[in-house]
Amino acid sequence: MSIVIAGVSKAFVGFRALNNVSLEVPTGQLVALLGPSGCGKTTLLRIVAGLDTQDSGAVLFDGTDMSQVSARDRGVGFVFQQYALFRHMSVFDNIAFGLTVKPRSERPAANAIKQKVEQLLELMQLGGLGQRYPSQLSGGQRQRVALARALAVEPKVLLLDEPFGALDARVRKELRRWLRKLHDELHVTSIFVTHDQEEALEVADTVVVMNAGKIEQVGSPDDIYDSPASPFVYQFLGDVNLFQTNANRNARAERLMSTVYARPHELHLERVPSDREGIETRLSGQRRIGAVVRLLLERTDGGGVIEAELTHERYLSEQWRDGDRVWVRPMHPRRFSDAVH
Amino acid sequence: MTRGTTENPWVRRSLIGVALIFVAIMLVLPMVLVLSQALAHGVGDYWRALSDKDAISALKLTLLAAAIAVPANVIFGVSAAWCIAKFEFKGKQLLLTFIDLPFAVSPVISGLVYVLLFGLNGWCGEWLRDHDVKIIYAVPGIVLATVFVTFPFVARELIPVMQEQGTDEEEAAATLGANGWQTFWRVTLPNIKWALLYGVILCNARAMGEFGAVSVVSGHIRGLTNTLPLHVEILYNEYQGLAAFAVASLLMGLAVVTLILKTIIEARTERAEEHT
Amino acid sequence: MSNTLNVDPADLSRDYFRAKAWRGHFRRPSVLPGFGLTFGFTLFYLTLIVLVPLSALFLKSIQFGAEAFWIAATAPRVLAAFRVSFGCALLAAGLNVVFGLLLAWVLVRYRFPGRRVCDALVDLPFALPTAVAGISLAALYAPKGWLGQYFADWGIKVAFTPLGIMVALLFVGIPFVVRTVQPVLENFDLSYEEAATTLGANRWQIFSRVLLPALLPATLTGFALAFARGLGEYGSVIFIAGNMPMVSEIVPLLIVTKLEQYDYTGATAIAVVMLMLSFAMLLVINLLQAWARRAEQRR
Repeated sequence: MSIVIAGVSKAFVGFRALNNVSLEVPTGQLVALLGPSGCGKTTLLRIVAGLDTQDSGAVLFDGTDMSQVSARDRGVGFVFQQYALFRHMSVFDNIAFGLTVKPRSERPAANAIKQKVEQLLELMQLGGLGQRYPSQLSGGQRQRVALARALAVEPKVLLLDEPFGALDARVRKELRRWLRKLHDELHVTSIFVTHDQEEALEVADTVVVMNAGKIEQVGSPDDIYDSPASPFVYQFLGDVNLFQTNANRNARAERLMSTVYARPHELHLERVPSDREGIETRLSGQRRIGAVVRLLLERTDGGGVIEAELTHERYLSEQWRDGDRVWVRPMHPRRFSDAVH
Repeated sequence: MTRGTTENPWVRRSLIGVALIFVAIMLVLPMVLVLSQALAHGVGDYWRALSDKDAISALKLTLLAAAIAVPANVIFGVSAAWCIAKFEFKGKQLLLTFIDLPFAVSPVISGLVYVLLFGLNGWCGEWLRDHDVKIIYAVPGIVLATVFVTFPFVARELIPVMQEQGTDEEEAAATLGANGWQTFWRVTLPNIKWALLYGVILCNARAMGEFGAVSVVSGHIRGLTNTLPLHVEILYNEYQGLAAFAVASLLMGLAVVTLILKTIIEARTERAEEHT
Repeated sequence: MSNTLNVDPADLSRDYFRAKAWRGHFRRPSVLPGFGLTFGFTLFYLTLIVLVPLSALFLKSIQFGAEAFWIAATAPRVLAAFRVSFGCALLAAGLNVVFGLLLAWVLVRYRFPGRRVCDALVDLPFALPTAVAGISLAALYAPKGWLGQYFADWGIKVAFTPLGIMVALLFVGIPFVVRTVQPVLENFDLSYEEAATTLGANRWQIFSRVLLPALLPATLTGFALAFARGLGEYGSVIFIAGNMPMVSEIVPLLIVTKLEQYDYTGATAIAVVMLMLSFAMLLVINLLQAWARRAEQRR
């Protein structure tokens, strides 16, 4: 099912959670809503699910306006951030719940339900855990039960609110690959909310970057990373160095200030000044973080500190000492005119 | 307990000693006295005192009052807890304060307000007399007074529990297609069953044991409007000590059972909390 | 510089913002059904059982007029009863604080045989019908009773005097202090005491300067609850009080006496004063509880 979000706004007192947000999610896609705290991503997800109501605008499923349809009848699967598993029900009963509350005429027979749940338990790699209670499961297992429960009713749309937020780093990595694989098998139109750019880039077909109640950019993970549409997107997707430069050096008119953005690992570091202009710096600190080494380079013109990243290998092959003079040149400089800000 | 955070053994022992003596004198001794007085002349007399016609009818009235008051306040308690814990609305604090009112009111006043409402000189007194309805000095008055004094018990137990559980599970049930009743019966109720039982037990203990409020509206008509606690008073005032303590021992049994059930439920919920 | 956070503060603030979202409306929209039904029923039942009867009392007192009300409420016997009720409730609540703190401390901090039974028994005054407590205490403290005889040796009369009233109120008030202080003590982080120890404080200094201030809001709440209960208590008191007008007659009993004499004006006037006091106490208790909650959250 395709989802269209058309001009949705939601205001709280003194706070616009969503400001005229429009978005199309084609059938079968896996979309990430990515943004920092308070950007409105969870509110948007809850509005799509029917758990919150928009002030204006509409949510359309396959072209049908859902505004008057309650959460019960929207046919969405929703995975809550804290899972919201029914704590007094076994894993089996949790997953079967959506099927057993159907009106008698639509409800599958008991053994059909059993079969369906068993099938989901297998799919979710939860075989043999059916009789456990949520409190007896690990975080990752609970997450998969929540997903299985949402999938049991065969929703047309799957919505996940920070699906991996409550898990520790290793489980999180494992589960997001697994979610991607699952989506490739099931092809249910899915939206998930995350504040973790790595998660969004790794899992999603399309990433929607949100900030302050607005969409900043929609695009494939590569698009978003390689050609960020705004300084915000650039900064949100990873560490960044900012250089204030005079962009139109040769322009006769006013000399427009602009800011150049460059990632720490996308810097040419030269020990001798080349003919091309580089920024003169002095190495003022170095710190190894696993496979990379982070260098702190203080600009000699007093323009602040630049952070650069090297592979540990390169770091070892070249001699780096505090106080060394280094010329820095961005490899793929991105310019955003300051007027944009 | 670490070394830095405990007292020297002598201080500890004497504190425990004082506490134990206090519990023994203030709490245990009154119960021992009730039993010993009730059985002072042997089991035969004890049994005779309990099987007295008036005692039996008092027991029946006590059970009746509880059988009406407890379910009524359970329905109220669940309903109040649902709207207070699961929704945000204006004036919620005020509503909570109103629900607590009967706890703050002296039992005597709880009875008095019904006398002023339904008694002969009360607001509805004449109308009731004309229509031959008797509330005060009759069973309905006793039931009403009992409902009043036990009003907050169930709601008071349920509200904090339901507030703490939040609305996530109910929202999940909604997205899975459950309707209101299904959500309540299958998701909410199982989550609050122990708190509900706890409230019911406390509510029941108070309903069966209430004295002041019931005393004011009862009129103390033997065999008709006497509850067990009132019967205890009458017997005591008539210097029938043995009978009074025999009936009192019955009520004491109720209290002990209440405490035991309460302890069991508390242990259960504690375990359940450790589990999650 | 952005990087992964474990908790998204947006989701913490979300509830806050959502709570504000419905300002201007009576209630916040929700997907859960049943608000109208349950709210309506709650209000209906509350009005029927509590609000209408209580307002009947106030209306009645207005009906009698201010002068009659004043005369009835300030009669010497009434004032004496208020003095007795107040004095006894206050002293009993004070004793409850002392013994309540001790019991709570011992139950939370020490392990000894019979601890669970003691813990359960603390609730006995809640569970035991007041009439049973009343006759039992009266028999215990009567001049020839199990305990009264020892007091009699010293020339002290407990039952049938204000002292007896205090004993009864001490009994009914125990659970209030223990049950409000106990949870605070249970949640009290030992590291505060450990920190004080490492700073060189002895046990008594730690208790009086670290623990007591932390327990103060809960203790005061317990005191106020015990006091409020003591003011209105009837069943457990009347058997042991002796009920001598001007000496050991409590306010609730006076209301009953007036009612039995068909003195509705008197009964209503006293009851209204009493009810106002109860409301004031309820307010005080609510404020104390709010204070206690804040104190708890600060830690």
